[in-house]
Amino acid sequence: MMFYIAALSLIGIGLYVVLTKKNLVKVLIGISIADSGVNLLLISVGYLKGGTAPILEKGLNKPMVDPVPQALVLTAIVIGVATLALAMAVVIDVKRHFGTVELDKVIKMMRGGDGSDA
Amino acid sequence: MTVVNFLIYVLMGLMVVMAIIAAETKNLLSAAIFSGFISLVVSMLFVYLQAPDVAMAEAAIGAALSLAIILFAIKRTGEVEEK
Amino acid sequence: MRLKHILAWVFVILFVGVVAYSLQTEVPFGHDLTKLAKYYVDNTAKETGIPNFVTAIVVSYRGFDTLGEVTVLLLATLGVIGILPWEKHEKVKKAHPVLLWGIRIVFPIILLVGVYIVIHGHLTPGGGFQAGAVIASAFMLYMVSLSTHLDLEAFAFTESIAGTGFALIGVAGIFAGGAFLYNFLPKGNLFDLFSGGIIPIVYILIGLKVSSELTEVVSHMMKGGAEQ
Repeated sequence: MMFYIAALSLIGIGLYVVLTKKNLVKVLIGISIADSGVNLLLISVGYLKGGTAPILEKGLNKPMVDPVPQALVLTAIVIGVATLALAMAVVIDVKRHFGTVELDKVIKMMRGGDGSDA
Repeated sequence: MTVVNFLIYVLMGLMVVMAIIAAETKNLLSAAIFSGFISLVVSMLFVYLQAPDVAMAEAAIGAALSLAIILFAIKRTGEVEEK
Repeated sequence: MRLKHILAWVFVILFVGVVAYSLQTEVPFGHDLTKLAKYYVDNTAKETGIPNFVTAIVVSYRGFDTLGEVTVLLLATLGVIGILPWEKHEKVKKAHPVLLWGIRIVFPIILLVGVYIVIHGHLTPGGGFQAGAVIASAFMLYMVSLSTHLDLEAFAFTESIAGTGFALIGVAGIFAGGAFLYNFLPKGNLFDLFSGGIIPIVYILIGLKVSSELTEVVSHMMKGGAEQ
């Protein structure tokens, strides 16, 4: 139960950052925090009380935790860093184009047309 | 409550406090460092939850590569968040 | 402005409470294994011949999904390279001698740990994804300290060879056993280093692919793109 609350708190704080912050880099940091929370939530759903890691050992005969969420999360972490890098590259491009990464200024420039060449 | 359980609860509380600080601080560099620390604590919790494979991946990627990518982006876009 | 923040916090607290309560009633923490998990726990060692069940699921049972996943990784890398193209001529600045010599000592050790993790991926915790991240972080340290230009062509070559090898092994499974990624090599003894058929080979290829892709991503994030 405590693991659920901790993981969901991370997701919630990530959502809070995405909802209220205007800086694009800060928004991506919030998404990465929420990503960690989702991974923790999935792993704790697969936990079995008194279970061992899903790796066979000689002479060890105990119940194992669920290996399926672990395989899922393993790929999700790698995908997460790749998409984070792609989003950060887009943010660097926004900085090069508009000179700022504050979302409201970027939107104003796109609407008003007083940016460099937007 | 055993000692390990107590330590796990302390780690979880630390993690949530770090996340709140990372959300509220104006300095993007410290926000990035706190998010890397959150990844490290999450990987410790993975070890407690009997997921060593995922713990290795999270420690190597979340605390090193992802943090490095955020830091390179901050270096190029400025480190103080305007109000 | 304050009202928006308070509303967001109320939303977060409600979200955490409601979802935690419903999760605890539906799938309580530490509940029994599902049918699917029970099948994997009972039959994986017999069917694939390797003791690490996570590796078995990632490479063997869900191998096709993993092929799609490394494709997503390839597309993200291509996106980063396209947005931030590599710039050849730039000043190389000297790092501090302590950092320089520290990296020279640590770099081969990190590389060795990465190679160990990927070779024993089917026996102990670890495997291609973890080793790829470890090796990429070693190259990242190298780039940060020495500020030299790594030969990115070599990484692109390794990446394409590994990706093509993965797909070719899958296609060979169609001819040998009638299914994509069919395990057509002998399985060997459980707990042996040379066991599990194609699983260690595929995981080594995944490790090469992930490490070269992440290295390219980091180097382009660090130096790519024209500054104004």
